[in-house]
Amino acid sequence: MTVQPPRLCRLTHDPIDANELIAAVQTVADGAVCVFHGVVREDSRNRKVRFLDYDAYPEMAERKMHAILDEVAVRWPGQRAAIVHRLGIVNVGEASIVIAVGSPHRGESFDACRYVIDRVKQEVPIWKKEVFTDGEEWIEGS
Amino acid sequence: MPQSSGYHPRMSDVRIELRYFARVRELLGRRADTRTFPPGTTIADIWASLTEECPSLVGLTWKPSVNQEYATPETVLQDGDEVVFIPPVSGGTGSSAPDFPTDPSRIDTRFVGRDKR
Repeated sequence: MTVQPPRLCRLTHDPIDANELIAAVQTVADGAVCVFHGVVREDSRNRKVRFLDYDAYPEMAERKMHAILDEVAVRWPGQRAAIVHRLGIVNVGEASIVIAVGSPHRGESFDACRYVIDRVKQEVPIWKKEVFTDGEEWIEGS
Repeated sequence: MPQSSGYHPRMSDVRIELRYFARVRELLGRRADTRTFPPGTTIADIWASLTEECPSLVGLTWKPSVNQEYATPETVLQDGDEVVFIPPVSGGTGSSAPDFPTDPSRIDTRFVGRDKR
């Protein structure tokens, strides 16, 4: 059995390099690498966003992100996933999260990637504040 | 008065680490507290004392964590516990609404307990 590369799962204040995630998940057995970028939109409920400011409970967030990758390993054996989430100020057009999944086939790669982003949204204690041209607001479930 | 044979030393108060994030942090104006409470104190009790100190917290929704795992407001705290009042996690660009985590009906039970690292 080939040696697995170390898992890539972290928070960062720097711009995310998707190539680093691809390199962390792809093996020669893969026919698909699915990459998801969650990016900052300019328009939110008809207000102009200047940037988003992400806050996290970092120890628990990383623990929960690792738990989600554990779930992927159980649910889709033979695939590898990586998650990098940004904190602090993220400008319009930039990625706040990038997820990559390396898989033998495309179907399971899309499925696993969708699963990871949905679980991150449910479980990982990260919050964003939308900073508008005319004010700011924490975004919470509503 | 002599001590009866059934005397037990009184349990000491519990020391709790509180950390604040997002809106809770902004409203309280600080990131963390270390406080002591009587034995038997629950997470809901601590929230009640915080809202007394800072009434603008009233009405906020949150889900607690204890030592980095989701918990319930009724949880009785132990000495040294780290408690966070977690606001609903950010929604995203997807179609599904932002939500509280750990709704049991949404969690694949095959994975429960797998996140101990």
